Amino acid sequence: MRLWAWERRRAAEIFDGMLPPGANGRFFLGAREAGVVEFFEAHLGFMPARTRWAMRAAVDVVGAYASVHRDGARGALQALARSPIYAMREVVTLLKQVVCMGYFSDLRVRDELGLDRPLERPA
Amino acid sequence: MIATWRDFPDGTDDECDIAVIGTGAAGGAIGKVLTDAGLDVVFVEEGPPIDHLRAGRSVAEASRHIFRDGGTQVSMGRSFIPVLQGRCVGGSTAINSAICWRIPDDAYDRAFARFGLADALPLADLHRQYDVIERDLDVHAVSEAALGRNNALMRAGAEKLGWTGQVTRRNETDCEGSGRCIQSCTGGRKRSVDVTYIPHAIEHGARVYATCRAEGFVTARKRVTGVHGHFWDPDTGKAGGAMTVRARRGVVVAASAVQTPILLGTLPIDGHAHLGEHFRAHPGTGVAGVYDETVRPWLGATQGFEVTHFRDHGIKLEALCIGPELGSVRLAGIGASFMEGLAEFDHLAVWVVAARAEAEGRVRGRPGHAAAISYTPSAGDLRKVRSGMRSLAELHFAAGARWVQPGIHGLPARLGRDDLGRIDDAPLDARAYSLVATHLFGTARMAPDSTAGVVGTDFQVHGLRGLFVVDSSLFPTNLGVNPQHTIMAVAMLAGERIAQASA
Repeated sequence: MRLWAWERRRAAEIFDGMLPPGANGRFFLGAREAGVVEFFEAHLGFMPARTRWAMRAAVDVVGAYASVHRDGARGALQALARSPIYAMREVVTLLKQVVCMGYFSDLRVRDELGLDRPLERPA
Repeated sequence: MIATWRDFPDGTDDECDIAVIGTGAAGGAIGKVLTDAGLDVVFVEEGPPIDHLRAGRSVAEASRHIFRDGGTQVSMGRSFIPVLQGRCVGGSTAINSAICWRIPDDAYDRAFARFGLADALPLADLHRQYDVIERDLDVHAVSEAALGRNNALMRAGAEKLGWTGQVTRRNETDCEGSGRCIQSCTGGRKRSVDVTYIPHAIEHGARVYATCRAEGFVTARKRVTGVHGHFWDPDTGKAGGAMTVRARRGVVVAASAVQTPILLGTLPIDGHAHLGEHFRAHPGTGVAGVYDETVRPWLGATQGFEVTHFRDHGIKLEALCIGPELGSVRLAGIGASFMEGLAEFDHLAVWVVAARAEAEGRVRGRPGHAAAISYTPSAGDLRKVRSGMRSLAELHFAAGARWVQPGIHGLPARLGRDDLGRIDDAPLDARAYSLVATHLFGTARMAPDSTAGVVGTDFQVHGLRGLFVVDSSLFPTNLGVNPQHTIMAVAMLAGERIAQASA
């Protein structure tokens, strides 16, 4: 599944608006650096047509509210998350789903939280 | 043998005694009984055989590989509610938390006896099947070593409050507490049917056609004599060769409460007014607690402790080990504030409520296309969910949480102990909650005649011979407890009857 170049640019800014680089002492990587855009593109290929459409539309909706820059995207996402309109809030949920799944697929991010360490069993 | 689209580029015709559509809890269990009785069985499974390396790589890869619609199936109603189902050899047993509950007497009366099914599904016979399943699948309470902090904290909270609860009984052998049941158990410890009953059936001569969609039935007058469909490549969606399986003694449909009515909809059946209707579920949602200690909620038996104190009210509370790939979607904030939430994810404990909902929905669709599920929990259902959320919050504080995160629209992202009353005032509107629908029932309900249901008490579809339904779509309503065990027991009972009738 290939996105248009403008869709990739827009998705990258929106995802970085959601998870900006250097904004947290523990998770230094932003979404783009963690490969979330590539993840998003690959993930779409496995989705049924209507979900693919919904995800691309979600990027378009946020893009329509924001200049194509992560600060603008962050403001748009915050406004949508607070919206009294359920469908608008769901746009943010949908994007969070794919961003979180992509972000925590990055091994550096996983290492930071110790996600792949086994359960320490009681002695 | 398990064959896939790669093995039959030009399609295949086969013949057997019984064709079974679906390899999940019901399909796997009945396949075991039928092959033990000496019958020649062919399974038709839409999903792939599980590549455990691939499913274990990440939650994303597992969702692409073994979940229906890549894990994005939702019901449409007043809100969008995810409806998670496995689509692979093993069905939802490959992705669920392996919980095994014998149906309690009160649930049996409510779900089966009240609908006139006590003779068709005698409780004593179900318990006889439970005994077999528990032996075959190594059902036992989660060990202390595999519990992990997420489960242990819930137990501590319940003990402090004096609420009834117990360590969960599950089908697994020496669970290592990886919390990855959803990825078909990366440690290979879960005794799902893809590693138990399906291999057993194969050893006894069964063939499995995986990545093979059933699209309709072969019929002769009023008798179903086979199933037809196509192979497909689930990674590209491209269609493969055609498949026809002629079944001398009948076709068993065990494709789930979503897919079974869609398949039956390709036939003119007597109980069509009920087909796809009466869809029931156990909608639920989670409440996270924020703790000073490190919890690592992704570690431990996926669901290792349950509180049954409110089961009479239709509410069950369960711990749920979940990683940030899925669990952080519910965290509030955007940008730096969202990342703060992610950074303390290892200090969360995540617990869920499941409600025995009264609302009924509907399933429509065509084979090979995404199902249209229409479902909206009622105000009464949401009252149960809300009450369960309040109880979860109380449990968290009893276990030592600093804050709770209810995830209800309109409420603050975090609530302290003194703010719990705010949950009671949350709106009874499905759009305010992040619900998930699990445990699906009722879209081809069993009833003595076709005015009341789709499937007869002999498990045959009304008005047709040789077409049997054995999955939870035949349950007239939801159980209020985890259904995997009862789905298997009912399917085994059906298998015994079909085998006896075939002898």
